[in-house]
Amino acid sequence: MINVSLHGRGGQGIKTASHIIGTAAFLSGSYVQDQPLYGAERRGAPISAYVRISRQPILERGTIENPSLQVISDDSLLESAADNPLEKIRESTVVLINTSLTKSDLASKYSLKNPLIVFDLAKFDPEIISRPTLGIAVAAATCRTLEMDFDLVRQSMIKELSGIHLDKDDIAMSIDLAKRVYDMVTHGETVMEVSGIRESGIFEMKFHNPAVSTCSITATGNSMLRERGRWSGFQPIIDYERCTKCMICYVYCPDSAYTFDSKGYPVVNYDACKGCNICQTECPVKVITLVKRNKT
Amino acid sequence: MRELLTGNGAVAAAVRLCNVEYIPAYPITPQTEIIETLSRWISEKTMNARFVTYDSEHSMVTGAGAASLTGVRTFTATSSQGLLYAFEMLYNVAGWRAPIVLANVSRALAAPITLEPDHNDVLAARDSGFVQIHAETCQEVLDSVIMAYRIAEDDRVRLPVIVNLDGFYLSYTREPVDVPEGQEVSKFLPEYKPTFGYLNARNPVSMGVSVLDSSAYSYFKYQMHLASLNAMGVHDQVSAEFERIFGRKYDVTDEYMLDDADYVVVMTNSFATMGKSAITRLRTEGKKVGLLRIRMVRPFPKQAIAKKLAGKKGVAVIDQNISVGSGGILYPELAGALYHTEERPKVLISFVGGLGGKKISFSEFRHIVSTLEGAAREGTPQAQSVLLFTEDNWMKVREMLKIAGKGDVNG
Amino acid sequence: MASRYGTLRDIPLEEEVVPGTMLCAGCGGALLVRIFEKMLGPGAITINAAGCMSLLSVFPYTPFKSSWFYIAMASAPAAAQGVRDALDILIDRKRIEREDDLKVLVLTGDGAASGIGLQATSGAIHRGLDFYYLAYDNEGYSNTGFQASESSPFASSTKTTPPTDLAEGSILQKKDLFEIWRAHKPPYVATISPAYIGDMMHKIEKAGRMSGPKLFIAHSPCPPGWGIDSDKVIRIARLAVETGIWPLKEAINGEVTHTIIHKKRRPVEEYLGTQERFAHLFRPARNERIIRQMQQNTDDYWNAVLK
Repeated sequence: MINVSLHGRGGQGIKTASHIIGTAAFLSGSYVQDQPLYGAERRGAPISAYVRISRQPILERGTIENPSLQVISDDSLLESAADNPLEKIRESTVVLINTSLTKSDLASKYSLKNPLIVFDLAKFDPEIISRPTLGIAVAAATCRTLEMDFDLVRQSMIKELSGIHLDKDDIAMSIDLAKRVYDMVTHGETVMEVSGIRESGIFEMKFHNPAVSTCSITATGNSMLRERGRWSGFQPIIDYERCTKCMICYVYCPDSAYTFDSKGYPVVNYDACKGCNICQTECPVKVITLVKRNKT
Repeated sequence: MRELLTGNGAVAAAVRLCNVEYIPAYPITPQTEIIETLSRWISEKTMNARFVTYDSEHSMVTGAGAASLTGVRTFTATSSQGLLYAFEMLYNVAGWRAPIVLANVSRALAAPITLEPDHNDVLAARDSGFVQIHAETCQEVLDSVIMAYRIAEDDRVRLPVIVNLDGFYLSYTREPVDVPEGQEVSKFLPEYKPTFGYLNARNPVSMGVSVLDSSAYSYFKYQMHLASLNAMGVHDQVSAEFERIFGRKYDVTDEYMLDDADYVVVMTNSFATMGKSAITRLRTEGKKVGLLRIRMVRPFPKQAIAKKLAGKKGVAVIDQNISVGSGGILYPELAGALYHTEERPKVLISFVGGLGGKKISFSEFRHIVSTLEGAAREGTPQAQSVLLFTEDNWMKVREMLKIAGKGDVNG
Repeated sequence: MASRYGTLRDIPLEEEVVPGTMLCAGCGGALLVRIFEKMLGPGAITINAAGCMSLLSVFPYTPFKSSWFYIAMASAPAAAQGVRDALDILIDRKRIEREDDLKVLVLTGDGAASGIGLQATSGAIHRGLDFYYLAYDNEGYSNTGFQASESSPFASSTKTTPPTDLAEGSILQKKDLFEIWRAHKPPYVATISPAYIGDMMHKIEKAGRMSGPKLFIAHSPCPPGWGIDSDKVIRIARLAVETGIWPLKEAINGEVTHTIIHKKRRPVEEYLGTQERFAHLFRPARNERIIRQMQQNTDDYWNAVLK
């Protein structure tokens, strides 16, 4: 059985990607399970989806802990300490990732020994990482890596994209994008079954004082430990030469990401900024610009 | 002081003795007399507490749990449909580990709607995390409410407690009750000082937080289970102290002519009194019969029950409830408790009776015992629960069906 | 009484809700909660009915510096009653100090406020409970993916009111929660908007001087539910006020005053056209009848106010 684990962000079309891959495999005659992992995470937040593909009936359920192929839609996910998809791979897992980095740079930056396939979607559209079409491109790259015929991808896309009410023109454009991505991804790594067994003995739980064992949080305000700043590929940069210290950016920030320096200039906490860009839109003197995160 | 009190009166008396500070309320028959009594005492200033009528039982239980966590001793009461209306919040309050005491005056559930008791209401809450004590007499009602606060507020437990009493059979029935002195009760039950979770500006806390990690969820849930199991030991300790001060002793189970009995009837709540009467009479007929009443229903005292029933020839479980599609609710719990005991009873039979408060007659008890004897002899007990329902009962229903326009129905 | 909040620059600088929440980028509700908590300051307890905001704290993380309590969707005001009563008892009996007291804030979405929690709210207002209520009105059940609530506006599409040939999204009118609450004659009830923070601060300040129910309904743009870009949240909230769709008003003991009046209102279609949930009114063909009806509804409202 081939386990494909897809990692992206809410709003990038990762669920659609898993459905396109699942349907393509289904059309090829395989047994398939696909599943988005719904959680409390929101638009921009890291999310995942799974596809299991097998020639035999699938005797598995739930999340994938032994991915054959780990698909990463957005390399900013690798910056996150809490939700890093590289934490979830096994030795022989093939990693397929959308990044502008080269294979060797990526391997050395993250000390990765796994088989790697990189593709750079920014070539098609520099802002694709904040669009739902990203999922379509990721699905095409995944199907190519899994050596599925493009005709299956095309049939699957027509079925899935009409299912989410895309019109004919949008579907044709999506297929065109998918074909270009499909052709761009160089294949060379074989995706194989990875064993899922990990031994862990049974823990005998003892009674704990209810002060401990009641679900409450006494470390109030501790969510700061959890950086959300990697939710967006973009971040605001302030031109302090022209900033009038009017505080509008501070006032309208939903995430408490602004503070002030000793001279009263606004300062962005990039670990807290989710990149909603309200500050840029509302800035009355237009001194805030958005910059792609990994270029800063 | 010894006085004539109804079950509802006994609850109210106990609540005042416990220095309860906050009473969220909502009326429902047959519980209403409890809150009427308490509100009268508060307005006459013979009780110092705050009484608030909420907009529903759902709100009432929410408010009770929230106040308890904030740090005041809290009591509330309901019945039947009211308990079910609050159902979601029973699980919540238990999960918050809020040590409230709730008196449930049992009343059978709609539809069809009715007034008299069976235990489908309180047993629906059996998995919620509330400790449950089911009382047989008005005295036991009063004593159980006092003991309930000790158990609930003990850090080895820290779970809410339901004290259950039957509607009508106890709620409106007066009998002599020893009402202890307030000073004595205060010695037994000190002021409520929560050790965690209290809500005030000095102690900021996020409570009732969602858990999206299944391991963490398993941990918190199982901890409630371990805390509930602790309630058996805590009950025995509290009970020993109670006996020393007040002279009355309660175990997690109660027994009647059990020691030398070959055949045993298992019951709960006030109908056990009728059971005891039947046992006495059957003894005069030479039957070696006895009765076991389960007083603590949650945690379920498996070991105590297995010990009491070891070596018996036959055991009948009278469930005053019905799990539609399965039968009696407590029967499978008994079977589970007995399965691995060395000398488990040869036969264990399920009876369902007392639904909607229908009395269980002597002939029905006699039928139970002869069924037990026959099954023990032949070794082939019936697989399904047996309904305790007499020919007289049927004739009455048949007449009503006719009046209701259903024709002359043959039995 | 003079206001401490002359301009936006007087906003309290201490953050009571720290970063790191799971809410969507650009969440209008998140901004409202942040400002509201700033105004209440430390020593508040937020009693949060199930909804988007109840995911502010997810074990083991919480962004709240002061207390927070997640309650079932139907009964947050009942929990507020329990906490308030218990604090009063404890203070009366000198078991806690006056400094330990908490301001009690109920925080719910429009689904809880207008629907499942309306009974508990009515009860709490009726009992004269001393509390704040902030209803962030994002006009749908956003937490479950944006289905129609009783607060969804006429002709808006949601996941359960898709625009079809038969109906222009929801055919039902938005429930008038302001009037429902006002009918209870609470000391204070107001509408607020994240685009009018000054107005909001004045209202919270004014309410803070009163005892009893202090109720706020906040227009709360929802980027995924409304189909808008996250950076447009404030603009769209402002347009709602400028077109007259979202009147900013208050009622003190039942007496209504409008706090922001635009004498020249923009046409409502400027507001409608910014959002995917109204896109079916413009594409593939413009639905003149519905747009005109919505303009008429707004004009009727303001003609009655201004006459």
